[in-house]
Amino acid sequence: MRRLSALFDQIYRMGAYVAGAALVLLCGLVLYSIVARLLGLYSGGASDVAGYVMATATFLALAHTFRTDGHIRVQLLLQKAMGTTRRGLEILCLAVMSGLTAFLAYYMARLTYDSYDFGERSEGADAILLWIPQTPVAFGAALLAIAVLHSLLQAIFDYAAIDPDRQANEGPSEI
Amino acid sequence: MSETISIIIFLSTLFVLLGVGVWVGAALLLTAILGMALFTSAPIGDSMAVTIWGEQSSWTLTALPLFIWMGEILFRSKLSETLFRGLAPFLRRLPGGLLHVNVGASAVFAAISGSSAATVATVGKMSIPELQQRNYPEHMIIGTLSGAGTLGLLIPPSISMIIFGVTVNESISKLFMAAMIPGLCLALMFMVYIVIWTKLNRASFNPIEDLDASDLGRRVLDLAPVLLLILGVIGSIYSGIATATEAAALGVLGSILLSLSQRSLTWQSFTESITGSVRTTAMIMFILMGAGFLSLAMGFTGIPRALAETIESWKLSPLALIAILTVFYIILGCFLDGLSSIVLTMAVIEPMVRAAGFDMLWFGVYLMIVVEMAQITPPIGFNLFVLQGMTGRDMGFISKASFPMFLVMCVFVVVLVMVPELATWLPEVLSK
Repeated sequence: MRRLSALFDQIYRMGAYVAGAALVLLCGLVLYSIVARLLGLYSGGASDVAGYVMATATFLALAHTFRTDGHIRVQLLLQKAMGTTRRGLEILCLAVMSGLTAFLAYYMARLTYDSYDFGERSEGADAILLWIPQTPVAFGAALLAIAVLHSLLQAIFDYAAIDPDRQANEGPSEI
Repeated sequence: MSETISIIIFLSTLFVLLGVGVWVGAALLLTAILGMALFTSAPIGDSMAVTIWGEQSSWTLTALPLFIWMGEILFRSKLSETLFRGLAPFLRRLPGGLLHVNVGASAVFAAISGSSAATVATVGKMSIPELQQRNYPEHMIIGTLSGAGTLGLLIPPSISMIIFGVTVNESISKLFMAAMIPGLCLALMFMVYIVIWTKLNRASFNPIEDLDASDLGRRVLDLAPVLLLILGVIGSIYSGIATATEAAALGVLGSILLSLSQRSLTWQSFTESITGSVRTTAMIMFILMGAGFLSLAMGFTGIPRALAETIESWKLSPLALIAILTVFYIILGCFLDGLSSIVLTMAVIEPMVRAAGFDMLWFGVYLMIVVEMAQITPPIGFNLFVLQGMTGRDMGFISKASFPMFLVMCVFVVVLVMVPELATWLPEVLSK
């Protein structure tokens, strides 16, 4: 069980690596558009593509961020609760989050499918088929849903693995 | 009547979800879904997907991950040392001595970083041990640092400012222009406070002064690349050469070059900076997804409009309204982090603020200050947590040490209300 869990954590981490690559690409794209403008080269659509790349970077990192406690939540009540109460609360929160992320993943996938079905193109200069950049986004949303379900199952059956009292994740990095 | 009940259900859902500890982004999305179900017959899931896709792939928002990345790179460089050694020779002669380095270094770092936590951590890394060695009183070291750290969100670039700009549809470049003078004024006020405190406590305040100033010239030279980076990033925005996103990309490039020249950039620190940024970006974006869909749903509930009308009918003076809002934000800040309180409240408060006739650029600056005030008040105050981790002192001591800075910021809010030109003058001049 734990090995399977570790395997999934690897997958989420891979998602974060791809997201990192997308971030580098995003920076490169913006730098390219600056240079292109200075030299009078063609850079049409660079700003649209930059937006898509950012969306990819965001969504593919959601799952890893979730599993490493990177998302913000209000901790006042959780920190007061101990032992079983805390576990119950965690299960409740995770169940709610599970439902929501599944809903999100379903509709992001549907958005992508509809774009594909209708052959929708972006309104920008590049006129890219929208399902192409939407696919990694839908994939990232699905990955998040899986990661949350993963944590929910662990909270129910293997609480020791994610017990917040014994965890040493760095937590959300506040700005 | 049923309308009222729906609104009560809607709002209490939000508070229960947040209070129980559901992740903020999810709580906002769920409340929005419920709101759509209660108040419209629009297809909920589809409008959610379209809203999220539209916002998350927008060009305006691309400045956010890039500025985060820039901060992550610089945080891992030798900048804390450079800033301390570069600024200390200039500031140590002022009454209060090296305490001013906390403020000065924070202001300089704030001009290349968009985060107040990173500002506190970077400046404190060097200045806390150095000042402790020289017998500076602990509460002044901590207090000035946590207060001056707030400049990270005020002096551009600022992550929170980008989020505010995206939420209320204001130009990020103009917001960055508006925040500069208030940021510098606040820094000055912190320094004035240090001077006054030193004069009042002359008897008990006698730190060791031993700083070697012989190689001053070289230290100043060390500062030059940092100042160049600031000039490049902020200068390109102010002169209108670059958009906020382009300036951010240039900033990333500049900070990579800076770290390379300091020989502090390793492959490991580079990849760490990337994973750190995607993590922070994902965290912020998840909340923004919730906030974006929630403001759509809020519009359907009619709450923002009703609130705006109520407040208008009270005929409050702007000063009274700002006083109420300030208290409200400080209380809210006790439970929520700064980012969440910005996005959550703007969905409701924006129409009210606009109806009251406030300049949105001015309001953005004001909001940064009050949100930061909330960040240095217990029980939830992130600057406090960072300092707790760095000094090992308990929360009570750190919050008490920060309290004078909180008061300085209160005074500054009053100044900002009295002299709104502090925020509005620069954007007007520069956009001509």
